[in-house]
Amino acid sequence: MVLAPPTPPPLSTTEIQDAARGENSSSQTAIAQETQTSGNNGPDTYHLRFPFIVEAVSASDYPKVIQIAEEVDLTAVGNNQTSRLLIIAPLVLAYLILDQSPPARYALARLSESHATHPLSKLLATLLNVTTNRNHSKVYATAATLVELISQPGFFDQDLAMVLTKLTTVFIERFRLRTFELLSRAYNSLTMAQAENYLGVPSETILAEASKNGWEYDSTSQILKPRAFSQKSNNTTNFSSLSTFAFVADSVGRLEA
Amino acid sequence: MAPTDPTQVMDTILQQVTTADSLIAVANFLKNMNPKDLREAALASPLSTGQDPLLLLSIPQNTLTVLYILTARLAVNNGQAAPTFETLENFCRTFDPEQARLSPDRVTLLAKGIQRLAVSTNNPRSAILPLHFLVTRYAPDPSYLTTIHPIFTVTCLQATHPSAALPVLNNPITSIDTNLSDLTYNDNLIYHYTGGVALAMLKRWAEAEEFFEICVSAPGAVPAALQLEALKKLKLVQLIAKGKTAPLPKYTNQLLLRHFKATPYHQFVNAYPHNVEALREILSKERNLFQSEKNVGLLRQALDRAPRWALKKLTATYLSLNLADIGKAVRISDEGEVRALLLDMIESGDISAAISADGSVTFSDPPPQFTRAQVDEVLKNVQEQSELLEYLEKEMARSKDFLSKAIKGRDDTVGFIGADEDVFSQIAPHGAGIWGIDD
Repeated sequence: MVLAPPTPPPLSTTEIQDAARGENSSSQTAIAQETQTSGNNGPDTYHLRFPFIVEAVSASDYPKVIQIAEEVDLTAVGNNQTSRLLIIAPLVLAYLILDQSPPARYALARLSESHATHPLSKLLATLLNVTTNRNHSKVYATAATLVELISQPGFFDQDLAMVLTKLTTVFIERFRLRTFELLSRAYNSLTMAQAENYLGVPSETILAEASKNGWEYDSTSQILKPRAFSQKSNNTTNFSSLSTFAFVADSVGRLEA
Repeated sequence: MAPTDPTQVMDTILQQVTTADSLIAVANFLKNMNPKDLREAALASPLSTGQDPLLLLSIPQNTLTVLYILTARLAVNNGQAAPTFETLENFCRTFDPEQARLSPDRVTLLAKGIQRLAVSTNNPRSAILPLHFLVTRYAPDPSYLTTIHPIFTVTCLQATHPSAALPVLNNPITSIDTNLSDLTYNDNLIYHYTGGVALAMLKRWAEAEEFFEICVSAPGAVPAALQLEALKKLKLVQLIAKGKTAPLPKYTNQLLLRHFKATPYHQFVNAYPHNVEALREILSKERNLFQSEKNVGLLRQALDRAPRWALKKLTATYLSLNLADIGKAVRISDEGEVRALLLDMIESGDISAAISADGSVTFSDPPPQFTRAQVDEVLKNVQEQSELLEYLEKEMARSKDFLSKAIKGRDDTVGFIGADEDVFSQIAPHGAGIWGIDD
């Protein structure tokens, strides 16, 4: 053999968290000194960049939230300030809104041990797990618990609480919509109880949304019959555009060349 | 007598580099300065006035000199001399790539130094941005492999930040130039192995498979240990993504496969996906080995996904089944779990099925779902790939190595050159492309 392999990095969640804790615990003294220094000098990088995240959340630009948060996470100095949650918590929720669980998982895994055991981090980790496993009823319950936590008067940052409340609300809406679309594809018929479990709303709300989307409901047997969620003009013939003409002309030119 | 005080030597260096008449002269001067240890000590020192020479130099205009100074400072053991990450990031954002290419070994030293500094301060995350700028700005275009690539991907993994590597991993490597970067054989292996690991962490299975395959099938006289590790991960990723493994390219070293067959991974692959009990037994029996090789995560994911492949097989035979029968076939007793599995497979597009309230499941062929824009995008992609392939073929066909082997092959036998070069055996007498593209 020519080369001994580098030690492969951890891949499972447990291995990642163990490695992250091992790395962070050994640096806590140095970082604690740094934290004290930065605390004495005023707001740190996380506080300074947080308003940009607030702006992106207000504009409902979740890819932008991710971009800003990832950049701050790479450039900011210090791992142990609680203010790091100003960046990581919105980052995780933004990934969940876009249904991208793996990078959300690693964002949480990069937290130091003290942050990982923070109630906010633990709830986000739980929300991530139940979302990844598509445990629908637990998703809604965990999201509600999260909102309850950040609504408490003693929550450590009220601006963050506002941002997280909005992000959690948007996440639940999008998750519910994706689930509704999936039910339309995956079920010929389902009971109202099943629909309530999947969608986390009472039957009246389900009926209202179902009738908007052309579902049928038999009140005797309490069976819903979904209609396939319509794709928006996917296979209909659209009029040709100038860009299509340019593309076709270019392709023919290449063939002739 | 030549000065021996490093600060005075630094004065001389500064005077020379700022008055040299060409960049080549600067590069030669810095490279050939002797003795080397005095040069490095001088480059890591302030000027004799106590001033920092970096304050007098412009990064875009004096890239080479700043590069030498930074690498010297990164190499000294004195912590006070080490540049800050802000300085390093600023350099990597603004350096002149053409100047830096005059000293590729120094660029490698810079990348290694940045990584080492980050690890020594227990903050590998801080190296990611500087290395990102370095790797994306140094080469003339992103298709070139450089020594910075493996250092960057390893750093992303050390920082538990696989998504940071994506902008680089998204550009396939098609060009090698040893004048551009002092590459070694291992750089290619390490980059594609660690790139595969990053993609697997993000569950981008198809891309991870491609990266591992490139590592596994890299030609060499003897297989590298890293290639065997990549082969193990490749097989597991294939099981997770498709439920079965795929044959390797025929130019893969056969010794690798022989070594793989002697490992418990081979037993795992053979038992997959139907014999779940045997899979659990292998996982339990060889846990220590799998843990030491950091493959437990992939093995567990493969094991968790085993029932879905058994379910998928049912769709080839049955038009409809009920949940209880499906549960028996995939060996899941809980109907709720079967329902959840079906829903997951429908959501990911693995099967097309519809569940009814009475528990019956009807399977169907998946309806085609594509937009005109998607078709146009695919066509455009194919055109670009064909052009690239044609260009690469022409470049290779006029290379000295290829021409000498082709002539030798023609002289010795008709169309056959060697066991490990049978890709060239398709050459027709009129010289049509080896991929069968007619002239």
